[in-house]
Amino acid sequence: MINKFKNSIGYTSEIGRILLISNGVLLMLMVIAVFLSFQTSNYLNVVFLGLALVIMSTSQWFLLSFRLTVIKYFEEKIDVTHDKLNHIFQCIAVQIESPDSVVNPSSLAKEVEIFTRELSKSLTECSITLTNQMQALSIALDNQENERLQKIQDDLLPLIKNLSDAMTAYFNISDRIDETLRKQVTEMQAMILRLEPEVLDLSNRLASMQELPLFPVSLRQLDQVVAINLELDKNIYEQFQVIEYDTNNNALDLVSSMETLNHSANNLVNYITSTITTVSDMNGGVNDSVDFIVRIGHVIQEIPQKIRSDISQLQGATGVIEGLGYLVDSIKEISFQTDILAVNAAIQAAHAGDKGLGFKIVADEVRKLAVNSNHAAEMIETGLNDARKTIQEGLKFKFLEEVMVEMDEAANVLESVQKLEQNHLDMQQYYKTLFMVINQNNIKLSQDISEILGGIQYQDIVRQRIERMKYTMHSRNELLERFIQELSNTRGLLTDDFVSQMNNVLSDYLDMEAAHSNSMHVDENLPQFELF
Amino acid sequence: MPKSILIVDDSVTMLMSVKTNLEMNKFKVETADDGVKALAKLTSGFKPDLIITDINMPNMGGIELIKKIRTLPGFRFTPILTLTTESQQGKRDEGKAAGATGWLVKPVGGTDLLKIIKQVLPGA
Repeated sequence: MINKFKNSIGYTSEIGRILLISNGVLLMLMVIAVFLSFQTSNYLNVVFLGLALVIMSTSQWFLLSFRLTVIKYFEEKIDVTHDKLNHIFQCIAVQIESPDSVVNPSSLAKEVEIFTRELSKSLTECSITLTNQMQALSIALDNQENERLQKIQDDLLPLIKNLSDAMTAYFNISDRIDETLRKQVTEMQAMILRLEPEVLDLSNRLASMQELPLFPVSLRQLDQVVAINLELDKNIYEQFQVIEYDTNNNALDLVSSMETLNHSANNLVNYITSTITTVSDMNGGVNDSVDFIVRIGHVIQEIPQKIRSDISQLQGATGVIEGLGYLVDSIKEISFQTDILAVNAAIQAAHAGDKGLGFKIVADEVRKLAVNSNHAAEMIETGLNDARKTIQEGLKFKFLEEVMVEMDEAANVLESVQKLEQNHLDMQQYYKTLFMVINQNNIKLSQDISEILGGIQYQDIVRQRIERMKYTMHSRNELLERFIQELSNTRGLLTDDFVSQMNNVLSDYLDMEAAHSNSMHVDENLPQFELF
Repeated sequence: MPKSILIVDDSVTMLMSVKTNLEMNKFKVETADDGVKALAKLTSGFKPDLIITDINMPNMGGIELIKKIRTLPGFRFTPILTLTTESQQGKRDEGKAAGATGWLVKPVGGTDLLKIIKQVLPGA
């Protein structure tokens, strides 16, 4: 439809050109006729033709000016229409490309609606103006009563009708255009929402990349920054090598120390194991001596009881003997009294004379009995004394014998005690040696453990070294982030400050590392231990 | 009476290894993980025979700690050893000026540490 509309505009221009060419040819013919009449000195024809030429020129000028006005009006209106349409499409394009459309999707539809209304209004005004001018042209043509112009009018009318139809059709489809545009905008909106992250990412990448090659100054700075970073990475890599060197050596030292520790511990265990037999033997000797002494002790403990028992028995026997002694005395007493009785009886028998001879015999026998009884009593006494003496001496002998046995055993006890003392001395010496060996081994073990504990300090050294690296890399990354941000914001126009700041990061790191110990680069002038 | 030692270091590994080594050798050991805590121990009545301190620590570093210890009554002649990874002469001079007795650069072997301690603590 738009093409048709454009075609109608083209027809109008063609009519103008036909008018111009036809009128121009007519004017040329008239000029030629005037020239020929002037050559043939037909001055009256020259006057008429000149007058006709003036009239024709005037009418031609009038027609020409009228056509130009009409054509100019169409062209202006069409241009305006095209401009508005272009503007709409540009706006749509901008809205599609712009992320703002995501934020306010209804703004585009509203704008399209406004422009569509304006376009409709413009086309309506254009149509009315055109209709009016066509009417004026028709009147002018009627007034001219020119067949040629009538023909042109007849040609123009269908074209105008076509234009009118085109405009009507355009008005009719404006709503559909609006609806279609809204639908398309909605679809594009959804598509933009889906594509937004990728587009933004791509835009950021392009924004950060596309400017770099365009600015030699940035490239030079970038080269410097990269060079500094490479130098920094090189130094950090060297410190990693130091860490590797330290941890490797430390691990080897620890393994060596552990082996030494294990060796010392094994020696100690073997030594202690080998001494168990000796200790057992010595313990056997000591136990025998102790058992003997204990046995002797029990014997000695029993001696007083035995002595008390013997003394008791002795006292009992002595008591019996003493009791018997009393009986002997009684017998002696009875014997003495019997002897007195016998003497008295003999005296009485002598007084009795012969009659007393028998009695005298009895008295003599009684006296003999008394003497014999006394003699027997003395003999018993002697025997009792002998028995007492014998018992006492026997007991005495038995006690001494026991004492001798005990003395002999005491002599054995002394020997046992001496053995025990010897064993004790042996054990003292043995344990002294044992403790000395164990102590020496313990000192060695302690030293080994101390060295192992000292080796653990490498963990702190490595930790501090890694912390310095972390600090430096953090500073570097912050600077690089600012670097990229400034590259984006200033479109590649950087300050020299970045290079100096990156240099500062590098020099700070080198200073920090130089201030700390480095086992791969030991400064001989600085002792590891120094007392002020 | 065992000699007492205060160890100041922000590394738990260092504190544990040095403490174990010294306790194995009959020393009484207290620890603090920064200068502020060490100073708090000293001002609360703890008077060690020897102080071993790191240099780089949070809150209060070793140099400042030594300076402050020297101002405390009764600590003018207490031996203070630094045990640090700092090895440059400038830092050593700072430590000496602050009042340190000696400068030990990590790592210090266990037996070496004991020998140095016996040098600054006669009779230990």
